[in-house]
Amino acid sequence: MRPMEASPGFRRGWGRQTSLFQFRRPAFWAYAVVVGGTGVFAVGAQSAFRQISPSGWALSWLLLAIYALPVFLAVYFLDLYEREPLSLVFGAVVWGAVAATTLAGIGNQGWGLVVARIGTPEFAARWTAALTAPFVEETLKVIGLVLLVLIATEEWDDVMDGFVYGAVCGLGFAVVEDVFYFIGVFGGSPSAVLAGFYVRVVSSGLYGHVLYTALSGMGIAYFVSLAGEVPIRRRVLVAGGYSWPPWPGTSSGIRRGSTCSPREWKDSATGCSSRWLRR
Amino acid sequence: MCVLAVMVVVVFGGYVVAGALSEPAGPPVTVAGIVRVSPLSGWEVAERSAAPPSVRFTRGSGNLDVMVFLFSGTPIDLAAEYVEQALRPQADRLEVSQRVQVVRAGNRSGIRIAYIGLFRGVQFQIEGTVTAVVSSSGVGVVFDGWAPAGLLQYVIGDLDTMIDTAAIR
Repeated sequence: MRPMEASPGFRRGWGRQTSLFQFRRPAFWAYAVVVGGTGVFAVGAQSAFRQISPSGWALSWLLLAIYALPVFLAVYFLDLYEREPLSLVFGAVVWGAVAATTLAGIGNQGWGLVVARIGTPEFAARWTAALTAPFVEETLKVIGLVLLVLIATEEWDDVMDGFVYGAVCGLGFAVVEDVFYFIGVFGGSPSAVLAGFYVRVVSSGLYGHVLYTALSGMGIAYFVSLAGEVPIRRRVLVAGGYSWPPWPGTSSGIRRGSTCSPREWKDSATGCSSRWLRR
Repeated sequence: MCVLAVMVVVVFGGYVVAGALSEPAGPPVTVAGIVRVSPLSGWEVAERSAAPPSVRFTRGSGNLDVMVFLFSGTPIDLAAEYVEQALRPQADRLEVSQRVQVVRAGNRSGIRIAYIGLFRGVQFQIEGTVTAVVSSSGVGVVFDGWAPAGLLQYVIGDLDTMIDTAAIR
């Protein structure tokens, strides 16, 4: 036994670096297929946004780079004990930015139809973001983290590792989602992008997705890294506790719901009585 | 495997559940003896008109107007004529999609275009889709599904189902 291995807190695997590219692991291929498939849609979406408003699109990415880079560097470099392999870190960013956002768009739409079926279209328009988005989006981001665990279990040594992977995954998600909102919802002109940046980023809290997914990542890391040391029941409880905050109707969802234009809702409400005036 | 299964449920489960919740409710409604529509649960007849023969179904702020015309052109001509003669005169601003989609409407093939516009007397934008079908007997059927902008996405599934399951003579 080497001296270091006898020290308290030692975790098996420290000091080793495992890359994302584990070609013999099925999880890697699952990751690659999902990211590749959704990447086509994500690139298409960005291309469409660029065509709609080139200046707004460029401004969106500039603002979000200013927003995202410091937190990325802080998360990565403040992990002082053992920095995570960059391929895995970027793998988490790409999952959040490409796979989770694209799949969440599809999933949110589908569960929105369920809300509209159970309630009314107006109820769905007002509440879908709060009722279904946390469940859909957080689950999809967590699935990416679980795939990273299956690809490189050795790199999940303690909860800090989960924090790093979760935070950067959430950061990738937040950036791409915000570009969508700036162009697709706020209108895409430079002034609309600035308004969107203020509403969605500055006034709604800077790093919601980062925090939520970081917490989920910590839960997963707790579950994985303490296997064999802590009873599974306790690991499940703690991991669930970490992952719980973003889910049930939550500031994440309410924040998203509240970004819809108040006028749109006012119009929608008055529209119920005035729609018959058409024709 | 389990991870991918969860992903599939989260991404596509909503469509399955929404489809399961969309059951035809109530008796089918016939328009001029030409087209028969089975309203889904929650949809009801809001208005009938004789000229042209038409029925308006509604659910919340989602609407489906079904109209029957004597028409001998193509479905694209019918949709264009409907836009120019029915929609545009009432609109302060109207944008119609260039993309024409071929769809199934009842037991026939039709075309669909999308539009968005501001209509007089309405404070909000309306978005909708016009589906046009022409039968070999010289009858045109127009399905105009519409809702306030932003809400159409929540009724489009119902609209598609009702149009797809309509029977056109």
